[in-house]
Amino acid sequence: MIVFLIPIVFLIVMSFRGYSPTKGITDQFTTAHYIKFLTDSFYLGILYRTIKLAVLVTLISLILGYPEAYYLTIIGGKKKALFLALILSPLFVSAVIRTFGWMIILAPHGLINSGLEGLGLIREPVKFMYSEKGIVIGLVHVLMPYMVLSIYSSLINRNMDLEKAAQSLGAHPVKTFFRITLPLSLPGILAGTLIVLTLSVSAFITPAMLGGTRVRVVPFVTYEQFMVLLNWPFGSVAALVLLAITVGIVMFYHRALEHGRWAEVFR
Amino acid sequence: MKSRQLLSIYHYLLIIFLLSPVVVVVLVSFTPQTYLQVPLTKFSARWYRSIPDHPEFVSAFFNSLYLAITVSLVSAPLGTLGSFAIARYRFSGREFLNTLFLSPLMVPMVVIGVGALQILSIFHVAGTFLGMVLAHVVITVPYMVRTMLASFAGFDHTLELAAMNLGANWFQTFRRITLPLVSPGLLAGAIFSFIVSFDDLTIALFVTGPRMVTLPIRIYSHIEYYTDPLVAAIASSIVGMTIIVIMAIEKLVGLNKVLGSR
Repeated sequence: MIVFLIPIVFLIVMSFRGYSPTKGITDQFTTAHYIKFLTDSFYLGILYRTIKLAVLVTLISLILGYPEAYYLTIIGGKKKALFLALILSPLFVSAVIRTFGWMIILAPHGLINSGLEGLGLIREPVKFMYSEKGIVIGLVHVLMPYMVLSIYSSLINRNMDLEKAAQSLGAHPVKTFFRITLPLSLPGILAGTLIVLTLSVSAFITPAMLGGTRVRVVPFVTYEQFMVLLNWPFGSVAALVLLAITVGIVMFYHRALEHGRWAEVFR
Repeated sequence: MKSRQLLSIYHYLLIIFLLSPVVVVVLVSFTPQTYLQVPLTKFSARWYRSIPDHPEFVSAFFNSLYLAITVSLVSAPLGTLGSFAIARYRFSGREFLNTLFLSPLMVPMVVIGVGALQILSIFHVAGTFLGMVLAHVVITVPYMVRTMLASFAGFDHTLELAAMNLGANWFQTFRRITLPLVSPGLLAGAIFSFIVSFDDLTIALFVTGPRMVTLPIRIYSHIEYYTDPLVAAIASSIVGMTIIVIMAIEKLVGLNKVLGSR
């Protein structure tokens, strides 16, 4: 525990120290860095973007991942093991390599743009690189496996007879899905969205390589302040804000699961 | 059955999406040109042959390799001990420890990175091999604990009791019964720690120094300025090695056990 608490204590102490571009980190006590981060519209904009992108990535991963998770539960045998391995494959590829691949695909004259131009769909290249679009694509790619895996594990042990019973009693397949299958997979959806939400808020390499200084997110600001600008106190504030968001998300889910209307799902 | 066919088409499209970045990197690495060319017209292995001519990448590779081996050797016993305590004994703070071992998965890597940087700077080991090992062990031990917990979960405790009953002492029981039974998990966890350490960029960026440049850092700083087929060739070689390692894990314990459902 000490291993994890001490760094956070250090961060808190550091976040209240003074900083001046000429003298570096000073020993005075100040809340100026907090005030700067939480009132400056530049940093508030970055905070807003970080959360917005995370929510977007989570929703897209859910919508794209759900059918796949469902599909994996209705096929069987050897194929399934192979498919599961393929679905999980992005997790085993180094982030640098994976993002490098996206840079090639998303570049102004990369695969997608030349493909679209070849088809005559666009006249000018779509700006994927150094834009929010590119970051969302890159993050959905690497985080979707978690979503598929979570939903899959909540669906795989369901009693398939329930769906058959509903249909034999005259329920339309769509109705069967919304009344039987979807509720059964709620625990998986909740676990999956929790993982994807926290991981996309704290993602660093993908936004750094696909967005860089042009599309900053909070983890990137933390890195920039610490390693480029050497303003450790302000960087500490950014890191603590980031930590507060992820802990906040986890506590919100915990609350909702223990006391909220979802509590029943986990009984 | 129409909806099933639609699902199956969707499934293959999704697989293509998930595989595309890596496939593209591997494809462009075989270009004979000096720039990244898609689609490829001719195949050539010239960029693979030129890897040894770039000592900065070769030395970074060996740095990463030694680092990852050390990290997995250190985290294996630590993780085993931790999971053994959680799986076997009831003690106050057990729940706490259990949560703790999952917590780095909740604390953003960037936060772990800056924390590691501050602490390592105090002890003047930031930017050294030792510093990198310490920083990486913090993130690999939780993986190790989780893999080992999965091993201990399917463990028949009575086997140990039987061995002791037949006169084996504590050490003999551990060596002859416990260890062989959990060794697939142990090996998988160690390999997993190896991969995490070998691939890590986020934490390395914070605690790195000029004397200790790992391969992901070298690739990252290269890509910032040039995207050439050389990087693609190096990246593809790593992908090839990773595939071999993953197949080994799958053979030993099965991937889903290692990943678990968080």
